[in-house]
Amino acid sequence: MKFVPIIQSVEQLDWIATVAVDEVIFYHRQFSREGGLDFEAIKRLAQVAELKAYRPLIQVDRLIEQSGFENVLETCLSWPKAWGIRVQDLGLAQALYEKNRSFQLILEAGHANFLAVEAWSQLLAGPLERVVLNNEIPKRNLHPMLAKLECPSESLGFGSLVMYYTPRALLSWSGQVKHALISSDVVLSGKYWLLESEAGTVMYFNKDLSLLRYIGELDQAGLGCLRLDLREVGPEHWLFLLDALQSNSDAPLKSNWPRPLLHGFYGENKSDSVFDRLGTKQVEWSREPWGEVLDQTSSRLLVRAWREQLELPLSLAAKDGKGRWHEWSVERVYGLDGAEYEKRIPTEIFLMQRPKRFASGTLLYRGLEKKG
Amino acid sequence: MPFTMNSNNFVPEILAPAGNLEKLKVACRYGADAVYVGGLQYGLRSGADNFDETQLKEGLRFAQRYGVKVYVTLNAFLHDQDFENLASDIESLRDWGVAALIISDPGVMTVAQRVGGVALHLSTQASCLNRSSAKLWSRLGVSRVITGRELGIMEGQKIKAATGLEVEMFIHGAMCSAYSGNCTISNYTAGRDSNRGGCKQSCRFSYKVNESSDLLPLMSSRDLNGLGLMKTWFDAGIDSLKIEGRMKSCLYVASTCKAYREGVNAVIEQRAMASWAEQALESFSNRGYTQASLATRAGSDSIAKAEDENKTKFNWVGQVIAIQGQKAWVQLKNPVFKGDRLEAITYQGPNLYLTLQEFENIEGAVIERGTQEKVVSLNWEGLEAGMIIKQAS
Repeated sequence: MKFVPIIQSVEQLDWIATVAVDEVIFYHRQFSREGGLDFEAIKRLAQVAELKAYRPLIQVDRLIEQSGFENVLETCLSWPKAWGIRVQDLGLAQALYEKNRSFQLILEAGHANFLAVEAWSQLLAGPLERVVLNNEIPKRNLHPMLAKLECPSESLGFGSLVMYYTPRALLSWSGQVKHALISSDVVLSGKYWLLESEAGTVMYFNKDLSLLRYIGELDQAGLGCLRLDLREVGPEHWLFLLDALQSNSDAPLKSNWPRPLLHGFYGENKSDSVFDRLGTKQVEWSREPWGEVLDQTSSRLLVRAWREQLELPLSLAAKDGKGRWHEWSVERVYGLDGAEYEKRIPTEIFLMQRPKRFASGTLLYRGLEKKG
Repeated sequence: MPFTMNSNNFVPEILAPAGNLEKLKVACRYGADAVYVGGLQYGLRSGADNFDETQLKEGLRFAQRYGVKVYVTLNAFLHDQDFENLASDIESLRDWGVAALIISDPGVMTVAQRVGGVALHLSTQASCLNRSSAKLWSRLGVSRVITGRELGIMEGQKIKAATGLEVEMFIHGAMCSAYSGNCTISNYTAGRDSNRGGCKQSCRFSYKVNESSDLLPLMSSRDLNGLGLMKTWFDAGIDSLKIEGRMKSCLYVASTCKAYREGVNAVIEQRAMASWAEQALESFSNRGYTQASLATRAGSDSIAKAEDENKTKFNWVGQVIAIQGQKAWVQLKNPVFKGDRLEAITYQGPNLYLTLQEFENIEGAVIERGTQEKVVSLNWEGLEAGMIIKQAS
C-alpha cells in the first residue's frame, strides 16, 4: 500500500522518509476549500519534495463558478507539468482532459456507487490518473468496486472529515474569527469546528477518520493508496502514526490523538437501512382509482370522480383507516343542489350513500377488481 | 390558465414544485408551464408525498389537459444496492410519458441513458457551476442543466451560450447554504443520508460560537426571490425558472405560480408588473428573501436572521372544489369561523376578499364554524373551481 500525505512543512517531508510515499499533497490558499499555503510556500516545499523524489500534488478541491473558471484553469495550466493536480470540480476535470493535462479526480461528494465512479473514469480516461473515493462507501460495496474499477484509486486513511462546504464567508460575515467552535443545545450534540478560507467555509465532524487498522485488507482489495492528513500532526503524534502504519493497528494513536478516531462508514453505512425504509407505496389494485372522498355526512359521502362519466349502479371499493377493504354497490347519487341523478352522473362532484366512514382523501376504486 | 404567446419570442418556462397530486393540480391551474414531482424512491424529499404509480398517471393526465410538462426527480445519490429496480422503474416512467428525469448521480444518469427515450436534466444537487462541467455532463446524455444556486443569471447565460444545452435556474424558494450535494452533516451526526432524502436541516438552527452564550443563525440561508429580476431572466435566455418547494403547501404553490406568471406576462406585454405579485410572495411563511448570487455574489445579507421567520402569519383556509349557481363549495384545510376575513387567490389579477357571514355544511345546515377537511358552501361571486382560499392578511 502506498501512502499520500498532506504536507505543510519541510519537517514533515523528513518524517515520511521511512514510509511508502511517492507523492505529497499541498493545499493551496485560494484553491483548496480548507485553505492552505501561499503558492510561493508551495513552490519552496515542492522543490524540497522533488529533491527527495516525491512528486508534488496541488489540491484544487474548491468548486468553481463560471465567472472565475477561466482564471482557475489558466492558473492550473501554468503549474509545472511534473506536478499533479487534484480537482473536485467536474468542469475543471473536463477542461484538463481536453488539454491532455494529467489530474486526479476527487469524488468524495456523492459518487457512492460503482457506476458513478466508473462513468467519469471512462469518460476522462487518459489524463485521469486516479479517483479519490467517497468515505461513505462501506466495505461491502467498496471491495467489489475496487475489484472492477480499472482506474487507480485513493481513499482517506487518516484525517479530518469535512461534512459541509459553502462558498459563503460565514464566520467573518457574523463578525467572528476565521476558525470557530460551534455548538447547539437543540441540534448536533457536541462541538464542531468551522473554518473559513478564501474558498468559503467548511465544517468538520468532531471525530477524525482512521482506517489504518484496515490497511492490509484495503491493500488486498485493490485500493491504490491511502491519504494521510498530517496538517495537525505534530512530532509527538507522528511516532504513533508511524507505528500505526507499520503495525496495521491504530490503538496507540487513538489514545494519544486529541479527538476521537472512528472508522466512519467503512464497516457499515447505517444510513442504508434508513433509506430502505423510505420505499415507495405499492399499488394494490389492478385498476386505478377513479375518485376520492371529499367529505361525508352521517349517511352520505361527498366524492370527486377524477375523469369518468359514470353510470349507475356503481360497484365501489375503498380502504378504511385500519387498512381493511370495503366493497359496496351505489344505486342513488345526488348533485350538490340535492337533486338525484337518474342513470348517468353528469358532474365530477356528487353525493352518494355511505356504507362506512372514510377519511377525506380516501381513494375510491371500481369494485371486484382487487388483485389476488 | 394556460398561456400562449408569439412563438418567435423567447419565454422562459415556469417550473413549479408538486409534492403531491393536489399540489400538481394547483400548479397547473395557477400558470406553471411544467411541474416536477418526486417519483418512486429515488428522490431527495422523503418527507414529501412522493407520487406512486396511480398518482403519477393521474397527474400526467391532468397536466396534459393544461399543456403542462411533468418532470420526475430521481436526484438521490444512490448506493450500489439501490440500483436493483432502477432501470425498469425508469422504463416505466418513460412509458407513462414523463417529459424528463431530473438526476444528479452519474451512475443513475448512466442507467437512464442506457434506457433511453426520455430527456435527462441534471439536478442542482450535482453543483454544475461552469460551462466545462455542463459539457462533461452532456457527454452522459444530459440535455438540460439545473445550475448550482451559487451562480448568477449571467453565468447561466454563458453556460447556455458555450454548450447549447438548456439551462434551468432556481428563481424562488429555500436554499441550502452549502453547495448542494456537498453537505453530509446528517450522515455523520444522525446516520441519515442527506443525499438520499434524510437531511435533518441542521443548518437551519442557531449556534453558539466559541463558548459565547449568544445564538447565531450562522448557516441558514434566506429564501431566494428572483421576481424583481424578470427582465434579466428573459434577456439571458434562461430556459426554465424553477420554484423550489415540493414540501410546501398548496397556498405556496398557488401564490408563487401566480406571482411568477404575472412577472413573465409583464415582460411579454412590456408593462410594469402588478404590485400584487410581490405581495403574493409574502403571503406564506419564509425566512426573509435574498437574491443570493443571481445579480451579484451572495453576501452576508443572504443569511437569515432570527427575526426573519414569519411562520404563522398566514393560514391556508381551503380550496374551491365546485361552483354551483351562486354557491362555492370549499374543502377546508384549516378551521374557519363566522366573521373571518378571507382572501381568494384568483387565477389572474387581484385577489378577491370576503368577510365570512353565512355558510353551510354539505347537508345544508347553517354553521358558524367549519373544521379541517370538511366541505362547506358559501355565497362568493367570482370564484372558480380549484382556487385557493386563505385568511386575509
